Amino acid sequence: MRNRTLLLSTVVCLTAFNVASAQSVNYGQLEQFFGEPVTSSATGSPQKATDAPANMEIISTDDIRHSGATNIPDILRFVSGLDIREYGRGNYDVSVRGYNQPNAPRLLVLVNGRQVYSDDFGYVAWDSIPVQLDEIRQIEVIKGPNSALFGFNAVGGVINIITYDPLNDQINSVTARAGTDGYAGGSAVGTFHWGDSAGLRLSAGGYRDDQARPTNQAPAGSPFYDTSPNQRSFSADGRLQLAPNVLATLEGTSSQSQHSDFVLSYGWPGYSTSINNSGKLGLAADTSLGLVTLSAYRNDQHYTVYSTTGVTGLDNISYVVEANDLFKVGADHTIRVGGEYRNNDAIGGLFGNSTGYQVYAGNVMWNWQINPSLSLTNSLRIDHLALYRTDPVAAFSPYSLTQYQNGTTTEPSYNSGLVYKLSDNDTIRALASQGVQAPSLIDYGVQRPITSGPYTIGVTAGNPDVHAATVTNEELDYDRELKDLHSILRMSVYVQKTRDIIQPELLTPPIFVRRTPLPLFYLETQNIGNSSAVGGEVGIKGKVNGWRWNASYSYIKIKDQLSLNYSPATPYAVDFKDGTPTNVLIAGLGYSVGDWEFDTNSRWQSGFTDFETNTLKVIVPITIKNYLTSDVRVGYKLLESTQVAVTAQQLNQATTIQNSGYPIDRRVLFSVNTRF
Amino acid sequence: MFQKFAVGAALLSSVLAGAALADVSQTDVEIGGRVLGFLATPMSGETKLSVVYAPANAASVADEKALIGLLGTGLKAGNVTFQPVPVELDKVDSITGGVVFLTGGLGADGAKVAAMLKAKKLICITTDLAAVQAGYCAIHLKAVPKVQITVNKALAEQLGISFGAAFKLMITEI
Repeated sequence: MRNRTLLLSTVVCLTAFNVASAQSVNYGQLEQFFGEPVTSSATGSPQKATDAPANMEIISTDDIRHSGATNIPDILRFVSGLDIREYGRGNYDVSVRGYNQPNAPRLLVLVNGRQVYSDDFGYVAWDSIPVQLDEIRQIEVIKGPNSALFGFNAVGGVINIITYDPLNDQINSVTARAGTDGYAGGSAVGTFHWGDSAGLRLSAGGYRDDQARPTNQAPAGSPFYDTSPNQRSFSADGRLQLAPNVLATLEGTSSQSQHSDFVLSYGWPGYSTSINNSGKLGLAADTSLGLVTLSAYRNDQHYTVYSTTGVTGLDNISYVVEANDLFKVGADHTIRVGGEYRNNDAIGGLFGNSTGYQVYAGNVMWNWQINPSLSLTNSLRIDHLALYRTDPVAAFSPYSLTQYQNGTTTEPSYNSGLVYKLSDNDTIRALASQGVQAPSLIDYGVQRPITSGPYTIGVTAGNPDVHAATVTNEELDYDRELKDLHSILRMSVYVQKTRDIIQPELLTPPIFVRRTPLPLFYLETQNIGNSSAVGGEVGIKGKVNGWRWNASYSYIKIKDQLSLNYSPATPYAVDFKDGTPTNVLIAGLGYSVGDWEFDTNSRWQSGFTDFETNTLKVIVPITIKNYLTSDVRVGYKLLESTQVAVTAQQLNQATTIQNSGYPIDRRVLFSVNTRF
Repeated sequence: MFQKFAVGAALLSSVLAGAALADVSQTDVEIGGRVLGFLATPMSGETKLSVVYAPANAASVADEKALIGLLGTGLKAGNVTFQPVPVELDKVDSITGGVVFLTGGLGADGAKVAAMLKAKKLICITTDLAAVQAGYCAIHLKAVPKVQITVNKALAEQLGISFGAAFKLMITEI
């Protein structure tokens, strides 16, 4: 009640300011004016992408269309420095600069600043993101930690999906798709305006296919053999100009997805369903105190897994309230101060009952334009996390209720970036950052007895004492505009160190405790050591006279210092050193002429080690050989506003083995898109 | 002392570079029009653009001719349609309303324009960075190779020019 009163009071104060100006942020207008994408994902302040103190790739609407992809991970597949693993249709894990694994925890993904990263298991359920490709303005990919702006889990990188502005952009579109493997899907986006002060964009879409096929863990006909991955989602995004200086945002989303969940190293093959709902309220006010933003949102996930070990699941409900003020001091200094409160609660079979945490965070960003060519940006954020639990722990749990109720951690994160424009064509960035990966709710609080007949023989237990992992990154970037080639050359080298790697309880070896009549074992989350990486990316991207091209090479070398390396005795351990492809080459070429568009994108990556469950249900490492995958798309403008396209994904090979999940088959997709 | 030196250096560089300033392009004009859309109270519709030039200054005249040629009887730029009016430097006091475009290479003569701007609270745009650095005009436009806007903060405040917060964060203030 007190929180609601506080929020209401703040809103009243915002509208009562003696305002200095009468505009709201209009990214489309700014992008059109400056002739390049505008982003606020680096510092929280709107910036030209080339000025941002971060290594950032921006994927545009045109890039999305030219890719021919039907989902976001398939678009990201052709971005340098990213690792994409499709364990089954709709079941993707994405990482930035290595360290990919099932339920990849190191990449924070947001939609217009709202987190879609799931804190329960600590991963991104890509299939649950309630966004249609036709409503995306740009996908911002930040490589390296950015916790100082976004908080926990922005350690490997951040992906912020920015949709069109329902107040200022008119997007109306219908897309229908069909393809091999029984694929059928579609989407519709409509925008409605009421005068100049209210806009609403509605979108809906979904797909189904029959890509799944039997494996040694889930033969055809078994109840865990999911034959029809599918997804559907709905989104409503509204803007209301309450006053010339105050803009309100109202957003609601819902999605439902089902896909194979053959996270083989977890040893519980099956399939899962996820129902996600969200609601968000935001206010932005252009005041004499600066650009003040307030937002509050609720994410609600209902997750169920149907597996060989039974049916279980959880509900994860999180509330987030954020407030920021962005203002200039003098001509050369931009300051942002902000605070965040987060309540993250998990309820359900995997937890016994309710467990969760509250986070209180404060952050400050200072950008100093030292001279027209040189700027320095420093950001600092402190997160204080306090665990709570409302019900008794499971019998034989290694931790007491008091330990779950008293667990706290306070974690600093920072981003520092020096941007030097040597000339109109050359930019150098020197970056240093530290991000924090919080243990997931499962890592902290899962409580699950393992029984044999009438006996409890083991306990899967979250660890309230587990430490957050930290990732530090030092990096040097160089961008050069090659005017004669109509291209931009980008190079980066980095050194990264991860400390206190968190190993989920199901991936650690059992700890046996003598007890009668049967011995008891614990599976608990542990910090398993450190890892360091060196790497770099070099790429070129350009376009002229209807032609467009890109090529990149990325390299990463990882050295692990783990307390748990894989061995037959510790079969659940991970191996980042050999588990990351060292070399990745990406190339793309496209041409538009008249009503036609031709595009091809290819990715080659070196081999790596993944893990799978063998027929004896033992986790074993397997070698994934290097592979090449090439997509080809042809689009034809049938009518002024209607385009048909055919895309062949992985045209070069009928089947590739890209990880320990399903083999990836060649796929042909047909699409019709109408914009009006 | 330092400020005087800086103004002097800016003026000197302006004079030395005078011959190169006569290169106002249509892109500059379009940028100028669209900048007015980011004002706290955005401008729109038909807008008088007083093009201030010095008849005895070759660079300034070249700018004036280029601009008048580009604008013709009117050019839409953003949400405004500029209606050009050439104004000789000695007659700047005759300007009433609209927006002022300061041609390049005027050097210290720009002070006359600044005095008029302050008296009449008019917006001034230019492609002559030295004039903005010297405080004779509020807004500098640079369209190539990348759009860059430089605003003389002190003069803008005196003239009552303010931009929306987001735009203000993306421009260079001096």
